[in-house]
Amino acid sequence: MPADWAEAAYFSKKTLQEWFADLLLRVQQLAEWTDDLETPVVLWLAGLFNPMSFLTAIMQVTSRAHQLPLDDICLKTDVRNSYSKEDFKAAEIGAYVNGFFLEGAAWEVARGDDQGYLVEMQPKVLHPELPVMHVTAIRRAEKVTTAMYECPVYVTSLRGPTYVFPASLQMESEDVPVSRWILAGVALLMSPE
Amino acid sequence: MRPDRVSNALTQYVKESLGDRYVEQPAFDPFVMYEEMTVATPAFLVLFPGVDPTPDVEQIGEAQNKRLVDGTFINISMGEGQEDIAIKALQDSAKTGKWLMVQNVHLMEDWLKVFERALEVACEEDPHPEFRCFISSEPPGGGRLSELIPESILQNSIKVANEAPQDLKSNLRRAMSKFDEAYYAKAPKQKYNEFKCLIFGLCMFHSLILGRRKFGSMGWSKIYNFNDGDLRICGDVLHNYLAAYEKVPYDDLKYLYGEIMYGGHITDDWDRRTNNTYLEVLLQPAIMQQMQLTLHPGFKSPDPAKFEREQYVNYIEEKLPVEQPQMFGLHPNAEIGYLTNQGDALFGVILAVQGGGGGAGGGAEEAVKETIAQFLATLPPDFNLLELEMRIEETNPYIIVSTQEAERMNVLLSTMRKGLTDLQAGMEGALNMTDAMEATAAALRIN
Repeated sequence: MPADWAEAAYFSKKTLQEWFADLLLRVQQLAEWTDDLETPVVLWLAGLFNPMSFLTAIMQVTSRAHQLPLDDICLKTDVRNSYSKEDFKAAEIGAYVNGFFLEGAAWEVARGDDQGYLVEMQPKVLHPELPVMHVTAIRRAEKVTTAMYECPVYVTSLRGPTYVFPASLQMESEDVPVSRWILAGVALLMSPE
Repeated sequence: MRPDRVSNALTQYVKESLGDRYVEQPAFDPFVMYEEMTVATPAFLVLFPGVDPTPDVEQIGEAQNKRLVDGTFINISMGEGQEDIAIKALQDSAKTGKWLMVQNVHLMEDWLKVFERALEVACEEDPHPEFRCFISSEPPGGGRLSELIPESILQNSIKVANEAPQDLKSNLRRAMSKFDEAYYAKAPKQKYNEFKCLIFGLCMFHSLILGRRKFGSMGWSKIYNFNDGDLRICGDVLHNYLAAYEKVPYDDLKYLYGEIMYGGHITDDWDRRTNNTYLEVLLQPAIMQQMQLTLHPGFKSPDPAKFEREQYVNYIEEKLPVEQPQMFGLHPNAEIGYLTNQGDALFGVILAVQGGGGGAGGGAEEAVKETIAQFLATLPPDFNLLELEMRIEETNPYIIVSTQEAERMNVLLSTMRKGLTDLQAGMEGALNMTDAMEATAAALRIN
């Protein structure tokens, strides 16, 4: 990619043609969003230049609604049981976001109100997609850590400088040692490469 | 095509069409290096973790009657305060025909220019024919060697990069070699079994975190130079703590290793968590009861009552299973990911070399023009920010995010539009081609 384009753009490991097709999708989402000034029902978070600013907005809205200092608040990520945007209505609190891919693990979808959980990967499926995620903000003190894997979210598989935020992903049970997923190098990526 | 198999297939291809010697690195022979050296041709030895070139130089020195003991071979490890000493030693060696080894010059970036000049002068001023100079340096992190080391030194020297094999067995073997019989003999007697177990656990830890590097960003998100010095210091700490405490202070050991010795290298919090988790899994009381030492069953901590150092060393040779990603706690897919990246990088280099070399042939130029036309035809218009501002009746944090995104998108879209239209004009001869336009054309050609 030409250097000045890359400078004005975002982290990406796509080839130029793939990148261009991806750019058009980003513009399309942003056009719909700015046309009706309503956050998309399921926002493709990876399609933003600065995904963190949207997540911060979730925290801001929550802190105002509950009169809490921003410092006392953190993000909560719940993985839903559907991959399809059509299954969702506008979130009452927080936001539904998608466009996440797992690296180092796969996801077992659950039913009803239960949440799915991390499972062993299938051979040769390197980056399985994660279902739609519901992101809300909660008080730090209320954060659940049992049977949860604290999972770094990156823009690309380059990791390091493309880091965005920590998500919490459910494990099958509290008997699973968290070391299993830490040493497997499990992360979420905002693109499948 | 399977990009993850490309490296392997290419190796095979080179082997068949050119011969084994282009793919297999022969064992390093210091005498061959010496043959190539002259008074004015120093040896430049690239340092890799776990390899010390001093014994190699000492070995050839022995054969040429240059020895540390009688001062005919001078070995200086660079650091603050050594600058003048090294220059004086250089002048003296060149005059009297001694050998000089200047180690770790990567620590002395500014001084290297002084050294470069002194070396040139020494070689011009009728040096003694037996004078030889050896220079050692770590490869710079991320950068190129030529950005750190003055050009004339690199050009005039024989460059030796003897990277030791990085498989689990070699790493473990090398780690154990840092703790010899004498080291074991000094261990506190009342805690000798604990010492044997924990030294072996520490060596395993060291080997696993080194081996994890080959999985690229999935292993560690940055490059860390964990080295033998860290291992050795951790061994000393173990010595002291076992001697000083009634119970083995596992938490203190893990803290010192994870936050200070090895942790001192780590600059990413998630990498620190990974490192601490290895310590958590390996350095625990169960290590005394034959627990697993890799994350995949098959390699247990031996019963210390039945094992002396020699048995531990043999145990590595005889019992360590064939290496696989699961032993590091990783899924076999991690290896595919790593090999795919390697294949992609390889193709990237081939494309870049091809694009820069041939100049634009007729076909390539047409393709670039087509890409420009395609992009320009589909590139969306800028967002109308003024009109957007007008429509916002009541703002909220989400709307602010959307307008910020639209602003940034406009910057990107206009940068692309300008780059493409300029290049189009340039290729039609309406504008002079600038460097920026050439670069854009090259990028479009590669795609």
